[in-house]
Amino acid sequence: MRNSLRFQIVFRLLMAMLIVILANRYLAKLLVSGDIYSHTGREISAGMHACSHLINVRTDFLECYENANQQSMTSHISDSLVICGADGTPLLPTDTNACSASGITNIVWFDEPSRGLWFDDIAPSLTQKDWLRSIYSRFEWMGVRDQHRSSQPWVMVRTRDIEKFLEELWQVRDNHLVYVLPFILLLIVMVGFWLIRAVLEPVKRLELSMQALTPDSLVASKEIHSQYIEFETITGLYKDMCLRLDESFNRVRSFTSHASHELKTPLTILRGTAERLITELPTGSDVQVLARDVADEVERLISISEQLLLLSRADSNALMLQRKDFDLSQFVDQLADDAIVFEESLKIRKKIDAHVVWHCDAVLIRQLIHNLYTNAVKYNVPGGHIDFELRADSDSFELRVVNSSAGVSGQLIEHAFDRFYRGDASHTRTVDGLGLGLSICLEIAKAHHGTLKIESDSASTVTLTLRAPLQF
Amino acid sequence: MKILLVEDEIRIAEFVVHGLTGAGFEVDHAPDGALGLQKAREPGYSAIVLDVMLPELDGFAVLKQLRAEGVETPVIMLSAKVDLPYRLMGFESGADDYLPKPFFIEELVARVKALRSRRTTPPSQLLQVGSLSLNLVSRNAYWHDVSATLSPREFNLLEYLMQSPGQIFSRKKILAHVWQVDFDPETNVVDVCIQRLKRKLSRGADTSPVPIESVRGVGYRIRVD
Repeated sequence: MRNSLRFQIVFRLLMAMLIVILANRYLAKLLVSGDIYSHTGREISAGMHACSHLINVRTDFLECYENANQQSMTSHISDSLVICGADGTPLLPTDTNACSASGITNIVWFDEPSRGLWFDDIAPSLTQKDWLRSIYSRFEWMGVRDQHRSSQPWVMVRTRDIEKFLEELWQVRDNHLVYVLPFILLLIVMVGFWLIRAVLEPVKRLELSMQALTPDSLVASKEIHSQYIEFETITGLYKDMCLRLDESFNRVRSFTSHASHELKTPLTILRGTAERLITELPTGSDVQVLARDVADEVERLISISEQLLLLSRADSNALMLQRKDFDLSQFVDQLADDAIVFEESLKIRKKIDAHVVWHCDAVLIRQLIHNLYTNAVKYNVPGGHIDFELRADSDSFELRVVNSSAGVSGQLIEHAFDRFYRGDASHTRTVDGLGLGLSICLEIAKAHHGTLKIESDSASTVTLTLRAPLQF
Repeated sequence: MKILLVEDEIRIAEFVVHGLTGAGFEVDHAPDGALGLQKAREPGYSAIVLDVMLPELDGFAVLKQLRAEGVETPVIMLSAKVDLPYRLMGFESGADDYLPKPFFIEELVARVKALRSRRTTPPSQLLQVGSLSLNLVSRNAYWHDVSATLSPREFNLLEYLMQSPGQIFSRKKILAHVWQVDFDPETNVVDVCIQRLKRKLSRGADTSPVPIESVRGVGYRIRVD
């Protein structure tokens, strides 16, 4: 999860959302308090106007009224208290001492029917709050003062308006929390995915293009150019890299191809000279035998250069097949019979379906199957066995060459198709060959749309399996 | 019989000339394409052996020019490039045969001979070395008055040896050509096969020994006296 870009982006979006939610309270206050002020201010002004002729005007109250009128503002319900009764009788403790005992000072009286409360500038304690709540509903007016602006005098608020307004506000907030927030969250996740898709899309395309890369086709596909300028650099770099890779691969291939071509002239000379030497030296002499050794080594060189050329052609997809119908059954059968003659110490078994005709390049396929056989002989043990099995159905066949072997390491199986790999280095001397055989086999099989697999089991047998379509 | 060899690599030219002369041909050598073209225009050559990679004028160009001028001398091309397109290009330019490098001189000689006989007579059904002959169709071998029907392996072996009389073929080479195995199985199949061949051909006790010779540590050959 931690490694997923999707997860990271959604996670961050959610974190951002959480911060927004937490800040919401303050944000909401910030946004709506202005409205509350203007709204309640208007109400107060109207109320004050309405009752101003009824009340026994006190100087500070008048000042308060003036200010409220002018600024149409209130603050949190807070600290001062004014009382008047319905018949002019005070509802609250009328004597100042009692008020002072309740933390209320600065009492203002209204003579006319009860309209309001008035707090002084001390914040009400808890008990005061309870007491206030009890009388709260019975009064239409509450005197309040802006806590933060102590220079400002009193204003009055109609209590039920505040209640109602706040109630509405809380309702809105509740709705917001229950319905709107989850919806917004969902939306954010969806938008997140959508954005991620947009961002990842060029990356995905790069990925596809990279998957399509093989040593044979190293040129980046043309569609990979991105419509986003932000990705132009990376796609450009990637294309550059592909070009350079392709170039160097080609250079390596053409080097191999050129090298083996260039070797041909000196090899022709060497072979010609060595053969001439053998013919001209006294028959049966030691030097003639030496000359034969030289000629044999030259043959080996020629075979190496031919194998390298074949591989380099296969690498550059230039392995040209001259296909014709080839009787695989007959060939494998003959090979098994030869093996019986050649390998007296080995037990040769065959199980060959008759008349398997493969449309293939006969020269290359002979080479392939011979290599499989050679391999089975080379890595065999005295008294071991080789099994040839050829099975075919209507459109494909499977050829298995199974041989006994003196224990095969997993490493050998893994590297069997590597070029110049010859298994256990300790007995490379005893085995004649280049370690190119199986890699050539693999290339030939691939050129025929086939597969070649090597397997080994605990009973020390190695199985090489060639599968291919009969026609392609 | 005069043969023109157009080859710039002096040492290849040397052993080709040696091989062809040894086979009884008279050989002229031209070291580059322009000179080769000039010489090829002269009448009297029964075949041209033409290398592809030449200075001045490459083999294909020389050949095209020759054919355009109406020179119909048979041509064998020699080239390090064995790919099909090159071979096709050779044949399209008017070549009669195409021999990839590295080649055995005996093969070149055999092909020149085949080319000559193809031009003059239908292909021979009989391969002959002295009194030893091999019918390529019936697969019968004849030594003096003895005849023998050969198995496919024996036939291939004898044909291989008889195509280049005198040359010594190593056991490996014979195995690769006749049995198509490219490693030494360390058995005596070749010996056995040669012995069988000899026995088949020398049934009459009075006939002279079959000229198949094994040279210890070197190989086998058809002896030419």
